Amino acid sequence: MLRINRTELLGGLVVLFFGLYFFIGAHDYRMGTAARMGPGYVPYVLGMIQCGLGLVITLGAFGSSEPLRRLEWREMLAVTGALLAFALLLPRMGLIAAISATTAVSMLGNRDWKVLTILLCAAVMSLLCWLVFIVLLGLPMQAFRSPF
Amino acid sequence: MDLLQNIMIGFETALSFETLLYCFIGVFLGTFFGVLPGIGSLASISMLLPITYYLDPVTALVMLAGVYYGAEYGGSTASILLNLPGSPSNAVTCLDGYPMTQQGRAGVALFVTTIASFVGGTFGIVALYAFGPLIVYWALAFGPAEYFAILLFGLVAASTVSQDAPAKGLAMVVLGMLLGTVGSDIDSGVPRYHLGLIELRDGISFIALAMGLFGISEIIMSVRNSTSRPFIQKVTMRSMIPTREDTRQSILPMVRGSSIGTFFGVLPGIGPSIATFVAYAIEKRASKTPERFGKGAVEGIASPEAANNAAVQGSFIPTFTLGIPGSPAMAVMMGALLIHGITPGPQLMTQNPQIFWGLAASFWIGNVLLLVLNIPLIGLWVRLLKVPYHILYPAVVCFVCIGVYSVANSTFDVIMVILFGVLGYALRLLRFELAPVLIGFILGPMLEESFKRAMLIFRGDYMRLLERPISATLLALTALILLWTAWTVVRDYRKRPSRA
Repeated sequence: MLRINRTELLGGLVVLFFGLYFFIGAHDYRMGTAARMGPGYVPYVLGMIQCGLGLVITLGAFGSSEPLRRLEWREMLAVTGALLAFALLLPRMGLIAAISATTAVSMLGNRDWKVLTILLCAAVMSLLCWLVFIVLLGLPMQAFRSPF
Repeated sequence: MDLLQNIMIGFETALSFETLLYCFIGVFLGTFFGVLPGIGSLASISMLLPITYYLDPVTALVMLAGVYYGAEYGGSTASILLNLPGSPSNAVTCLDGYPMTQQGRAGVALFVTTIASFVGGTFGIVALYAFGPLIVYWALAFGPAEYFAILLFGLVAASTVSQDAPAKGLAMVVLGMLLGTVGSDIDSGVPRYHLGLIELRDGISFIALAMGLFGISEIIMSVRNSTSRPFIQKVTMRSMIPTREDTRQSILPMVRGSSIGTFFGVLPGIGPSIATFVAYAIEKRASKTPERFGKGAVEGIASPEAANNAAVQGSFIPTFTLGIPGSPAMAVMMGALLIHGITPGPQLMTQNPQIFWGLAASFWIGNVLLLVLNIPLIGLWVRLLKVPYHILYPAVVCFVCIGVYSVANSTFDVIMVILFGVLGYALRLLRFELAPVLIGFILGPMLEESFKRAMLIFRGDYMRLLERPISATLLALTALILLWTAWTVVRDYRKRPSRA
């Protein structure tokens, strides 16, 4: 049976994807000549090299096997969701609301989360950030803001 | 004495109440982040970069130097007390540091770490004073062809020499270079790959890239793996005093480690982690009692820790004389300088000597402050290690958010951090090394510029790159590295027993 190292295979395909994206994208820009290179020249060459490397990695995947590392959905979604909550809430509702939400969402990444701990941490964190970043450092952010 | 005068200029620039204050804050915050398991010095610097945004360049660098040393020290603390290395260069410290903790000698291990770092850093800075001006003198005669060759050499060396999978390392460097092409083209001003977004016309934010790739992806990786905490030993000031035997055993290893580290640090692209491994191996071979290694030998900490810092300080040499970062941490530092409008390179020393020598002194000052502040504070850090991680990491996430937002007061960069965080996490799962991405991102645009200029001069004739002795030598070396790597890959593939 043909054995395939899925980590390497996927890795090679990701590299190939980036290579192709920039290689094909380079055609939208003027290429120029070697003596007078246009904006497309270097991304074109780099994209080509990246495609080559992607192929090498993909081919290297055949003949051995290694289990894929598990993707931790919960942790990833909690952390990125926390950042997203901050980006969405800060300009609309101000720092206190944004930090409370960020803290709460990121804490959901822990499997044994408890409502009380989250509420307490969110309160402490938003107070702390308000004190440090607005009162002490005077960053141009509003503590409260009406969404309407 | 010219040299003495330069050293004086450096310390005058770098030593003021304000810079020392920021350095202290840097050491403090750096240690705080470094102690957190799984967060290495690179992630710490990336996450703290935005704070330095409003400072003047020298103060910013002094603070970042403090962050770096603090984070390395914090990482060593976690390695020694918990067997959890924060970065590859800390991994060697675990080998003998954790056994020392098990023997109840954690205090001594932490103390030796600090002293060895200081000795290594001092070695490195002396080398910088000795060789820096010479290299600059030589580098001033460089044209675009030489720059192109040396940048290419640095990029290839950084991604292949110390990597397990050279093709993947190279792919990450190229990925960094590709990401570096986003934004306006230097010559024509044409915006490239901006996806129609105004925010991307100036290119991808370095801070967002570094924070996402290192900070966020490391947080995601560590949320799950660190919920349970083993027992943590109490470390008192008294327990840190080494015995006479310890002192005697660690002096020579520190000197050897420092020399090895300085040597590897000066080579562009070869970072401190390889220096620590070499130092450990040599120490074990030189020892009369190699069987003690791995069981709590104090030499096993002293030499790699000295090598680590000597390499960091040594990598200042290529960074500031040629503009080529010698290690990933230096790449971040260089990114910080570029944000402040300072381009490291041979012109820096001739045109802005106070900045050059001030920066040279700043790392050493960071090291001294670490020594002065962290020995008394060790109790605090040990206590911090006892706080459950699931309470600490939300605070780190909030910090990242505010930090990124405050750079340009825009939530766009926060969104970019999310994207790069996910990308970094995915690449980590696929066992890619991320440091080369950053090196490629910083050096890529420089390589493009020097390549374009060289080709303009040579009227598009590639062969003329080989007519100039320095560029020809460097290109030949680059080709040798590539051939050698290709050969080892083929050899390992053939040897692989699984290929039936």
